Amino acid sequence: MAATVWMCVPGVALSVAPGTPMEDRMPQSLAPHVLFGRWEKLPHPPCAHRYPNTLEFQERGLYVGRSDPPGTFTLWDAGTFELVDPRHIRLSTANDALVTYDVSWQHDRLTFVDADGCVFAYRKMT
Amino acid sequence: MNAPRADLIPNPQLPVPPLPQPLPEVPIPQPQPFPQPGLEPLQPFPVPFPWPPLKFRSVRCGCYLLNYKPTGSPLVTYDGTLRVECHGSGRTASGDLYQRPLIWLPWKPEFPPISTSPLLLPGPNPGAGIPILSRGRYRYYLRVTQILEYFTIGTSFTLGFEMWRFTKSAGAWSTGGTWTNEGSFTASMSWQAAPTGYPSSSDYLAGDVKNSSSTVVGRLTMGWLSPYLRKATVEIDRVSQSESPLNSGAGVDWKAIGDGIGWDITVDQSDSNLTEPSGESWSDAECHAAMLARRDASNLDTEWRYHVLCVRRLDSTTRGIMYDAYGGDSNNVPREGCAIASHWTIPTSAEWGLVKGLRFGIATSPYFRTAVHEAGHAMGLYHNTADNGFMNTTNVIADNSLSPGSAAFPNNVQWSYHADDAKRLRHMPDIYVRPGGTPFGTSYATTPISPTDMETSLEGLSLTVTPVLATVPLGAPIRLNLELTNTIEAPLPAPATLSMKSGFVRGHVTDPAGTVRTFSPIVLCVEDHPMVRLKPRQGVRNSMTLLRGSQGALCPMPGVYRVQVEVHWDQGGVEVVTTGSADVMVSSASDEAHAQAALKVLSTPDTLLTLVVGGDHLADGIEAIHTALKNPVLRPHYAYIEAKRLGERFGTRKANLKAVADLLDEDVVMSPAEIRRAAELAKRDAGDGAAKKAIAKKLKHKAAGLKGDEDVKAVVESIQ
Repeated sequence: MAATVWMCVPGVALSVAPGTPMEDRMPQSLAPHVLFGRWEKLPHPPCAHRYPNTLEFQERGLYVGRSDPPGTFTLWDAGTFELVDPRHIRLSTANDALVTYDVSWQHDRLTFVDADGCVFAYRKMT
Repeated sequence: MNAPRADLIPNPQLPVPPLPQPLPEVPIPQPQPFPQPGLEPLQPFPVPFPWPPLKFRSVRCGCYLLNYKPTGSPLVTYDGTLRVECHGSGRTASGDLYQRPLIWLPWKPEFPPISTSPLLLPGPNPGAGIPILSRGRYRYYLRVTQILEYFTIGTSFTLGFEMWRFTKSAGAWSTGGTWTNEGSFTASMSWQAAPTGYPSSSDYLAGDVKNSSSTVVGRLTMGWLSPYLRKATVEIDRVSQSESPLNSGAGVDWKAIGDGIGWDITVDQSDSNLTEPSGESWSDAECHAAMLARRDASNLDTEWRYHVLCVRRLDSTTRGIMYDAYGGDSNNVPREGCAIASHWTIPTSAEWGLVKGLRFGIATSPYFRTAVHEAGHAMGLYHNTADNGFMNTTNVIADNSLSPGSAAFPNNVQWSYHADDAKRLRHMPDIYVRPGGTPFGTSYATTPISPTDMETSLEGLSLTVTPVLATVPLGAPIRLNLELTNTIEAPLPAPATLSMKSGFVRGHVTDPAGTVRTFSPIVLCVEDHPMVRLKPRQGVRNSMTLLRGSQGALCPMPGVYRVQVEVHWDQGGVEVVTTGSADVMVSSASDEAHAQAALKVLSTPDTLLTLVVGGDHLADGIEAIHTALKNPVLRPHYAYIEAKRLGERFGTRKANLKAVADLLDEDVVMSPAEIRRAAELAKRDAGDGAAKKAIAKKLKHKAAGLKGDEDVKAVVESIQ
């Protein structure tokens, strides 16, 4: 089994397959249109359980998160999102607090880091 | 509770005939004297003929004082409330029980010795209305599964319920707790004259409680107290520059909102001179500190008091926040208060309709709605975007106003809770909704709630659940065969697949101690929910493999487990459910090595993910499965799981049919669906003909033992 390589970029940890060209290891610039659509959470550490299994970013700045089974609490259930800059996204959360997260985008993977340092990623659903 | 048809509700216009009085007077249910938009009282029932005279009784809507005395424990008694909601489909009810405290009388040397036995304190005074009992004494939620839906001409009815024990986690309330179903019980409740002090002498019932073995285990009494289900106070404190959110400006106020859910809400419009601690914008910590310092009362064990703080601006958000959660909850007492900001300026974009550009505090309707929304979070509710009700977010509602045909914001606000949220506020356990109870973010999915009458079963569909192996060793997954069959002579709609991924299938497992653990799909193909019409006697088959659920390992100890599988689907807006169950024995660890291997697979969450999604990326899951494969007891149960993973390419790794063939030995345990899946894997791969032949031979041997799975056999036969 090929080993996973963890590389660190400011605020973000990304796992990449060995042999990946260096240019592909760098996060791409995140723009709002990249976010639009449905995303599914990738295998994640326990600290990321409170984030939804699927996430849908809509064009008018709204998002909906869903967790399984239905009725499971998720910190990102519904609300607004705003890309503060290419590395930071602000979402309204389950108790209506606006929270800013580190975010990066590489290929079809969107990686978040929360204030506790929990790193988790979503993959664009086709 | 089965739902009688709404169109069979009696005509309320006809007069009620005079009736004899064989028992203490029990009135035919009348419209409630209090306005209760959320509670639909049963109307007088017309009797079509005057003779023989009959007396009709029904369970009056509202809150009852409940008492449960277990048999054989004279010093144990529980008090609480039973909430009976009346609606078009009959009754939905739920209850909560708190253990009554004991006292030991003090003995003083100068007085004669007295008994050292403790004494039970008196129970709640029924004349004082809905009781508020101490959170520390909370013990049980009663999930009522059977109650008199409409009326009876008899003098009793059967109350069926489950008792869910709440075990608080160690430490503060913010640590939450867990629920355990202690079993199903019934009580034959008979109308009796109420003891002194009850507001209605005729709405009092008592009965012996029996467990599932029909053994009497206690006695239950219930006496009507109030047309409301719950009661609470909303205290509003504000800075002088902020408005009080008292109503919508169009007749909806806190009382009306409470009436809509059966809550008796009292508004305490309190301080209007709060001092801003650090300028116009308040942090969560400052909000929390102001609540602690300025609220009029703070004993949450005697009053459900929710605090609404109105300030000019909030650091954490624009309009409102339920700050009393996570790090904002400095005293670890969850959900005591929330805050709203009066000086947010509403944007001028189109979705903000009639209030764009206004200061929030003078936009009376959305400002008040936000206060109700945040108070809803304080009552434990999350966001709900299914309609424009209170728990949707303001942004989403404003955005919805741009849909064709919608009224402009805020006229498109729905001044009620979504039906699911209203039910939660009426019937979730006390400890979930009351301030200072379980922390915000406690899952709906793991909290018991009484069933709603709207869920129905489809006559003629039968779900059979059969274990592939009736006994499995500790640590092995449970494989089940499912078959949904149309048993009648007419076609019936049904899901086309019983795959877990379809989203139709979920269920729960009850362990030998009665603890219930749920399971549901972790991967959903949500876009594809095909339905079919099953011909008479036709069925749909599939298999499922169970290992973990949202509460962890489903079978973590030896013993007999009952697995209940539910197939749910939406049919014309009604949720249809068909259930089936099977018992499975989990045997003890055969030796230390087996115990260690079982511990590894059961305690590794990614074991399930590896089972479901395969791949090489879940190192922990793969390691756990390899541990199981090294153990001769568990190896047959995990061999297919590893074979499936290796039989599919991952990244640059190619499928390895040779490894698959080696793993699928004579002892491997496979469900019919797994045999088909393995055959499809082999068919798909163009390489390694020798391995493919070996797999085909082994699968044919496996399939030969199947009964009725002709499609599986056909796929196996087709391996070239």
